[in-house]
Amino acid sequence: MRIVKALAALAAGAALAGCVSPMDATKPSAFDTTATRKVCNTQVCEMPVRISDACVISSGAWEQILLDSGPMGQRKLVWTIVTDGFRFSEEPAAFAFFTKSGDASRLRNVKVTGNGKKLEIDFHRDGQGTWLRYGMHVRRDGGAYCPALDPWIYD
Amino acid sequence: MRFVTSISVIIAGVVLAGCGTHAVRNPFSRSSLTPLLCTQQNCPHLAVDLTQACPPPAELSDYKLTGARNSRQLVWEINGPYQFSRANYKYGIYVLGDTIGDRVQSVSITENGKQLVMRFDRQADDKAFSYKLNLRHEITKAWCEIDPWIVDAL
Repeated sequence: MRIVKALAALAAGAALAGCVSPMDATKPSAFDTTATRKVCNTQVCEMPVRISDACVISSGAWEQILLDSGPMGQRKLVWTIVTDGFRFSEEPAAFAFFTKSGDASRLRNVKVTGNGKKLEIDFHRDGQGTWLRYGMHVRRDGGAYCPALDPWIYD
Repeated sequence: MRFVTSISVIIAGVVLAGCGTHAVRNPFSRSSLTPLLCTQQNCPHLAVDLTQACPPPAELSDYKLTGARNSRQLVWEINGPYQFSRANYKYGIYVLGDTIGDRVQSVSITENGKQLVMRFDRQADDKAFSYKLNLRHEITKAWCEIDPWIVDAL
């Protein structure tokens, strides 16, 4: 009986965490209270990105971008790398922005411009309270990739 | 005491579920199918057999590279009503992590979206890489996603 209870508690723990596996999650873990958040309530959301010598994005690539305020409809997200020696990846198999979960049809005109320094996305905000998970790939000018980021956008 | 034990077990459940981590794929999600061995420069094609519904989990064999350390051509071939996606924000193949990206020399989609060709710089260091195949239904445009592995064996 105790084993049954223990197994039930294990299942409850997993369910409470809101995921079966981290790659399949459809929203951030409720236990992640330390995520960096960017509240964006304007039509265009500008995010300067800084990268350390160790190839780690140190600021600007927020773990959660919150679009649950501001105008509905077409919004624009713009990330700009302000550190020399790095650029957004334009390789198809490891592109700068990659949709991991969520409704990809809300994205339009995803492009890298400015000699790799700028990533622009048109995002259709419908206010349905959904999350979109994406990957972000940055590389050194020499070609080596930095570890990919794994953030979220909330509408 | 029982309450404390229950709390401990719940926390263990959370940890076992792998929650709260980032970008770490479950290492136990490798395919149980026989790997497709590639021993030469031109690898045999890896067939991606799909039904209308893209039934999850659509398991796919590991692509296992052995033999000489050189550049390899890997080819995935769709059998079924799907095509490799050309959208840059959800391309037909996507590699996760920083190390495999440096081995991928080029990728292209051919044969009217039915074939994907990759040039891979084999390092023979026994590393395994997860990647994602992103496919779209030819009529409904529904997405089909598969998460297989490439093994750069010794």
